[in-house]
Amino acid sequence: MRIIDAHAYVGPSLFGLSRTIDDLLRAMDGLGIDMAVLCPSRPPDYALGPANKWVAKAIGEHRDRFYGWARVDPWQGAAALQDLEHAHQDLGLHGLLLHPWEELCPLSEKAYDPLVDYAAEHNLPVLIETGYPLVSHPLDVAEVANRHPKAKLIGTHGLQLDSSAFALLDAETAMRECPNLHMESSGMYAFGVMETVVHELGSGRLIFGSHSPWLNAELELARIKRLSLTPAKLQAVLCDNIEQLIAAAR
Amino acid sequence: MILDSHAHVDVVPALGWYHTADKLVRQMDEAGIAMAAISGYMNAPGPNPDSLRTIADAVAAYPDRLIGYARLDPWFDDACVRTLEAAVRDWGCRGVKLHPAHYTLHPFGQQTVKLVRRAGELGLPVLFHCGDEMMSLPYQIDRLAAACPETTIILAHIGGFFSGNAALDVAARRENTFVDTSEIPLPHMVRRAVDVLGAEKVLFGTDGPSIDMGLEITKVKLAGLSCSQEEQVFCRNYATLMGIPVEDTRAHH
Repeated sequence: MRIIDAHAYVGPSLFGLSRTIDDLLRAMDGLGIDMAVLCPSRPPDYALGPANKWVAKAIGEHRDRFYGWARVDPWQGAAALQDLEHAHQDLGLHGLLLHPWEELCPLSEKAYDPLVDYAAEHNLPVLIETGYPLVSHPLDVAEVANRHPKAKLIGTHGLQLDSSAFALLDAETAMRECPNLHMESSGMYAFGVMETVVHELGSGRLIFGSHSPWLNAELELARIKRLSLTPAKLQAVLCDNIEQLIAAAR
Repeated sequence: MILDSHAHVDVVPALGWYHTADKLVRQMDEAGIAMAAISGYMNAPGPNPDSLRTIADAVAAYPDRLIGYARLDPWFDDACVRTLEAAVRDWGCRGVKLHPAHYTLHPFGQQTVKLVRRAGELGLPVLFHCGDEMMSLPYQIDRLAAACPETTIILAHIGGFFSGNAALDVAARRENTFVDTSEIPLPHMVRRAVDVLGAEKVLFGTDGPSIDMGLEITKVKLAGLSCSQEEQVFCRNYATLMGIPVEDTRAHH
């Protein structure tokens, strides 16, 4: 079964989570992961533009193994939009990565709007690091999804990182309210919610990702394989859904 | 043998949680878990007057598999202490579960200190939800642990997604404090807990059955512990804490 990890960080990391392309490829080979969508780590010098370029270079060298997200800092305003245009049109990256936690920018900030508008115009999927305290609650993501109904959004971590589990209902609510919102699986402990998404909202709505190296790719792959899914639905979650979103980009 | 120090049995439609004893034990069987400590999701005293009966009924249905904990609300002060005593006397509870983010009270406030000291006198461990929310932060529970040195305190989730290092600080400085491995998807934090605290202060827990209990076992196995460390975490530590005769329990499975 073909597997794509939609959420794999690479490059020098400000947060001590640096990873080389060779390290990632070795890990993917060990787990039978065919492709990964590369996420640029926030580098020690804080400069995301070169990080996007670094990812684009890795894709150029391994086109059969990688897609890539363009990461921009919404606080940079017009420059952020220019960075996104450059990453999409010149570097050939395949979607937009928003990280409200590491960019210190709550998702309720309107600085996100031009970026999401651009992504919607070009049908680029938008991966939003979701569930982080105060900056990206699942209903914050729902607001963005509702404000940009043509954008294709992916909320990470099952849309929540709440060890009390109180946000599970918010996550499910966001998924029910927003047909343009997908759920990424990394760290999502509530199997019932993921299975509800697949069985009631459609197998196209759940996407496998690892958020490695912060999270453990082996554990994250085991998480998906332990869900109660038919082989066809499992294939959709592990591969087809993210690949279709990327293929639809203009 | 695997002992789960943190699981649940309760049905709370308002939160969409339907976790019966049958469902839990089915998952335990699939995962190979011999025994689990269970608490409800609603506090006593509280909106569900039968919350402790639910736990007692579950334990009665599976007496060799489940250990009952009373989930309590210290806001009720002396009435809560009386509820604790009744939970032990009438419902056979052997531990206490507190979720301060649920009832919104500082863990080191006098109501909680009084309750936790009484739990210690009764020989019951107190399992705290410990995570990234106000009222459940590790350094808040630290002050409670200092005030109740005779009570065994367990910090769930190794402090949650973002407060793990703080939880390890607390468990390292308080002899009476343990951590449990439940829920967080972070094998490296299980490893760090063993390295910082010693394997003897780390308890296996799942927070099931809403969480896949088999995957919680996989998580601990990915932490790279030695066989003896794994045995301590999965079984020995909790067996010692609760006086569970491991050899006898092994005979059931």
